[in-house]
Amino acid sequence: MLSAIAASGQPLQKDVRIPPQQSNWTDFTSTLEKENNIRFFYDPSLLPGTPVVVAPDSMLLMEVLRNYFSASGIQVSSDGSGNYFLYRDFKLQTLPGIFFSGSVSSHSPGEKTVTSPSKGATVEKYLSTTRTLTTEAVDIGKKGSSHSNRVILRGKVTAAEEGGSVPLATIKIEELNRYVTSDQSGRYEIALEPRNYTLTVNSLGYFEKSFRINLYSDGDLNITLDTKSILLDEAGISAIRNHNVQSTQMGLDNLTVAAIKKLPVMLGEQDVVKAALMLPGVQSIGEISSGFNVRGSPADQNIFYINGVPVYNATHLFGLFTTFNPDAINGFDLYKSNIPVEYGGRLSSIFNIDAKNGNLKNFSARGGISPVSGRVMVEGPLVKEKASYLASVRTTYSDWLLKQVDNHDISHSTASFYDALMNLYYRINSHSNLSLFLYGSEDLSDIAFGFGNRYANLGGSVRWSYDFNRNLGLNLDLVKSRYAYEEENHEVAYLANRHSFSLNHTEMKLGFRYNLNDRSSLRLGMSSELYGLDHGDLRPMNDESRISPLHFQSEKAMVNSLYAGTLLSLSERLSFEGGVRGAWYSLLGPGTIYDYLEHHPRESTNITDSTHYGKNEVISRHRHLDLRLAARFSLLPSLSVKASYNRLHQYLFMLSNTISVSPTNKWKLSDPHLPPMAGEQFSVGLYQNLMQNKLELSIETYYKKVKNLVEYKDGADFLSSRYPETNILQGDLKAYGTEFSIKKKGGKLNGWINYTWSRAEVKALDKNSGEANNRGMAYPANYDRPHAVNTVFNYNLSKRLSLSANAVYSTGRPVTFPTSIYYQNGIQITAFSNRNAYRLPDYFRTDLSVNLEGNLKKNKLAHGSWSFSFYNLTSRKNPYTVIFRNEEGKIKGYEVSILGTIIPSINYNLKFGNYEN
Amino acid sequence: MRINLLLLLFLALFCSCKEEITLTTRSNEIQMVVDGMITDEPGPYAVTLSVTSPLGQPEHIPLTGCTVTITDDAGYTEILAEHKDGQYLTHSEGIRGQPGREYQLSIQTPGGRHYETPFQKMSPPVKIDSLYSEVQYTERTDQPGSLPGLQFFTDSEKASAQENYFLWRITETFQYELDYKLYAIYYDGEILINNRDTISGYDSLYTCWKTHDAGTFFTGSTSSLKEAKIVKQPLHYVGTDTKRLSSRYSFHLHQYCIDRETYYYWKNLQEQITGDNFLLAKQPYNPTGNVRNTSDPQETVLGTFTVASVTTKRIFRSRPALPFYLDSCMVGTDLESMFKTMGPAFLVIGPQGMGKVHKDCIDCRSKGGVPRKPSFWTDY
Repeated sequence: MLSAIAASGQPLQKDVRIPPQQSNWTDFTSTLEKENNIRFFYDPSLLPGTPVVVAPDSMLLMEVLRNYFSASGIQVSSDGSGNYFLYRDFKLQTLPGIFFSGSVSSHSPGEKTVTSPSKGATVEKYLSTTRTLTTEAVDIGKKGSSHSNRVILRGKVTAAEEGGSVPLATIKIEELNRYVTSDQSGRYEIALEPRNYTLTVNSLGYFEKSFRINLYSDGDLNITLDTKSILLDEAGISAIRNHNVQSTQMGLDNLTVAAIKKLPVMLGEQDVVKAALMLPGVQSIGEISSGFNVRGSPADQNIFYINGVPVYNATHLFGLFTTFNPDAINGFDLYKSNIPVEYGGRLSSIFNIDAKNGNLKNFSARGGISPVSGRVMVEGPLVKEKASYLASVRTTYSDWLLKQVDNHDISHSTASFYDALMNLYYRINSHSNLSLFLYGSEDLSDIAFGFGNRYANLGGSVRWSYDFNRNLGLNLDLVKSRYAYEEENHEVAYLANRHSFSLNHTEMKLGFRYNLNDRSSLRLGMSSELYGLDHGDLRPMNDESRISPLHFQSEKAMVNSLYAGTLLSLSERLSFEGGVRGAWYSLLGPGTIYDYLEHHPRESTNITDSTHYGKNEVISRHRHLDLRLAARFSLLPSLSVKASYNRLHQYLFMLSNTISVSPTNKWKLSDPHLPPMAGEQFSVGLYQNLMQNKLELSIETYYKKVKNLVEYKDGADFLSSRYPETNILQGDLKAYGTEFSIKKKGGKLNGWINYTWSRAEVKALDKNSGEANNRGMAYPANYDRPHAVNTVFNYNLSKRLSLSANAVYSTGRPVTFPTSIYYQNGIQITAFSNRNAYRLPDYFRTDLSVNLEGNLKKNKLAHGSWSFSFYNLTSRKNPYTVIFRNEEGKIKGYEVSILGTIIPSINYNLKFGNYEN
Repeated sequence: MRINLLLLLFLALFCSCKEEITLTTRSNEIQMVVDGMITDEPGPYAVTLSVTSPLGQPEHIPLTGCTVTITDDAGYTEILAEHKDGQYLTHSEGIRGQPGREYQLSIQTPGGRHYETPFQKMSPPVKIDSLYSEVQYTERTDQPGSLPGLQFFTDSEKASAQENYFLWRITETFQYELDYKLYAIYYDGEILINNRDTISGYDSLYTCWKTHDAGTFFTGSTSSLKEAKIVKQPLHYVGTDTKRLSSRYSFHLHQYCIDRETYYYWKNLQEQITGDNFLLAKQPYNPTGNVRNTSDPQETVLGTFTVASVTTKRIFRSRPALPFYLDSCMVGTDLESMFKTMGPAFLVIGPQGMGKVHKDCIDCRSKGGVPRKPSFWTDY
């Protein structure tokens, strides 16, 4: 609580000189109040409890206060009229109606605009209103125009600096003790009785704002929040307070880029996927697997979207890094339990990355260098307050690293990558905006001996948002994305070949939001996706090559979907979210489908017949009705229980027979031989917030079943056969687990600890032909790690210096071991165990980073910051895999660890402007 | 190769580590292993039956007392005789493989289990056109730098059918000489000079010939090629870190023409034993051949019965003009201490004068060869 020491009626003194003394706080302040008409505003719990010491010479009061509080991080300000404010973190609890800072603009029907005061003016306004205890209220609507006892207040919360929307801001109606939260696009809406209110707006990373409104009839109130100049809270999870308890959403994790940037990194590269691996239920095979596994699902059941553009291969350099430049993104959401009804086509998770909109007011630029790459981002207005641009490029200079290696093959190898994005934003008017987003990445590698590949993502989206009225808005998205690779294999000259593949994804999405009332809403929409998979040709690479070109049949499919979802708050305690998504899948010609002998293995020798389909003729068709159900019940205001059920289908899968994910894994559409994958997931969870929502506890349990999982047959070779179905087996996946999580948000020390117990089991057996992997027995998935603990700590020593540490533990991944020896032709051969019957040793790693910001001067041209990272602090040799060799007649096993040593790295970042912008 | 290089890349870049581990296995499931072949060369043909042995004690554990028969599509059946434990042979005057005919193996174990293969057709033979070598350098595994050696290649003649599947096996024979000739033997206080005193015959142990299976096999196919002809198929690599190329070397290639299923068996087996199981490597598993338990088709039966026609070709290579990296015999020069013993000690004239060497250094048989020139050997 704020305690204000009452003012006396004496005249005001501006510069108070304090004589040398040593006294306790109470005595010190009461003297000053009596003699100098000075008032102190502070929270008594902030007091250090030590005596106030004034050095031999007399000092100004401000100096005394700053000295006194400097160690405890308390800020001191004065309004120059005898009021002194002591506070931490700019978290002054405001008294209703006491102050009014920042800008409020409102328009139709009761047009009212309050001009945005400058930053300096904000302080003055704040202080003067404090004295007068009044504030100018904003009129909304027309006096006497509404006779209804419920009118609608709505608007959008935007950030003053970037002009972007502020999602998940809480707007508190102080008089009613009611909250409304802005949605993903910053919009909010609430039905209220027409009268006067005090609103307090809060969002993480922004200054709290309060103001008064006189609400007469329906009207708009757009709120602009100022970005906090002190990033103390930024490393927290960006969800609104209490959101995890109050929303129906389960299994949603999100991280802001500020949080990602503080995490220790490998080779100086900040990486969203590596950050996601610190979240519960997210696993990977090891350091260089490009994919990640969410709740026991293989990597192809996840999809990355960046501003609506799907990215089919989000890795650089064999999976060491991810293709998203952290400077150009705000953060990400990872939906791993109930996937919003707007998304279809993936069974496990949606990794939704939000790229930044350009700054609508000022030009700005930032960049950075690490041992591996350099990056630049520029942004600024095209038309002030109306249109903006943002462009970023990151490219590697890792070739020099390879050149250092004293090995002919490596120093003559090349590996390079780049990624780039551009975002154009145009605010057409107050209820409509348009954005154009482009994204691209490319990787090129050629290992001097025998093997090269290049792969690239290229995509773009156009998004138009339009609000018809306060209750109805729409989003229209046009998306195109292309993923292509080319691989070369010249290990054996006469077989030297080149193969290219491309996947084209075209999508049109139309979505409507309709608010039934302030607590319930409806989402309706449709989408149409067109997939074109060009499986390419296997072509001779040069004149020496003797191979004859082999053409692989292309595939084309269309998925049309309709969805409807609703969020219903049935009471304060109970809310319900439901959705249905109908999908119509058609595989389209041209194409030839082969028939195989029944009850026989699907092999080219067992082909009995074939059917040819003409262009755009429907080859196979599926219709599915997918379900999303979720409910939340609050046991207490800070304790809730939630449950969800999801049923989904997936028509596009990735075929992989390597343990890690290789860039040249094949994508394949469902066809008459390969029915779509079907997944179901049940989850139940308990959520509690403690310590004014600073501490979030949760437990989530899930059970997941996937049918028609696609696995390569043992020994399959995709490039040797024109009949992909002969290489494929379909099976079942079963996964279950429980995730425990504790998060501490805000404050000097923040971070999280989570523990996950989980299992994932695969069974691949074709009952029709008897074909099976692992003799038809179930086996643990490659990424099955029953126990996993992730801890992340951020400690802010000062505004300029922070430390981050994390520790990761997990059970070693399963591997197949040799178990016995036999002889064939006199050659010693190893017989292996059942698939994945053994495990690598447990994985454990700790990392540390030190982030140092440049000086905090307000007026400077550019601001620099340094990050020092120490990856694998303990140099533990975590085995990535085991290899077995026959050495002089004995089978020997070796554990191979990648990054089995401490890897220090430096990352330098520079941007225009000062620390805060 | 590509897998090795990626491994190397990561090892080199990030000081990754490779550490040996002790392999222990919880279970020791015993599986049956069949290793047999019928060709169009004159018999006898062998079928070897065994069971898997534990990882720590690799050994050949024969499966004895089985009834093994080979049947052809003309209805001829021959029961193989157990020549030695686990090795079953056809009669030398018995069945003779012919391309175009089909053959089936069946096995009855003493325990009453019955195994058989389907009838498999013997593919027509394809002639070897040429066999040749090129100098190539490989990364040394034990130390930095490159090791020179000879990489052998083969070309086949153009086959009449488009789809041909090959299994190549190599028998190598090499002539080798000892580092030193025996000069004298010290025994019981006496020095006996070779070729002068009562000892002799050691010179016949100076040169040996060793013949063995190269311990590896290769597979290939013409099915993906423009014409049914293999061109420059890489085979065995022989480095200059052993004595194999040091004097004269014979490379004897057996080119087996097999059917598609058998080809995939050998190809998959080859991937399993040569792959480094790393990064791009496939999941390890046990490739199974064509032998099935007739009452339990899910039983894993390792190995295969190969039906193949065969052609062979031999080439010789004299010592190439390349640097050799050989370990040579240690010559002990401390002869004083030798005289305090009874001996025997074997004396040679080394680079620093007379010295003593281990007995193996004056007997080429110690390296596994025989001091007899093989009948096929030519010295030019």
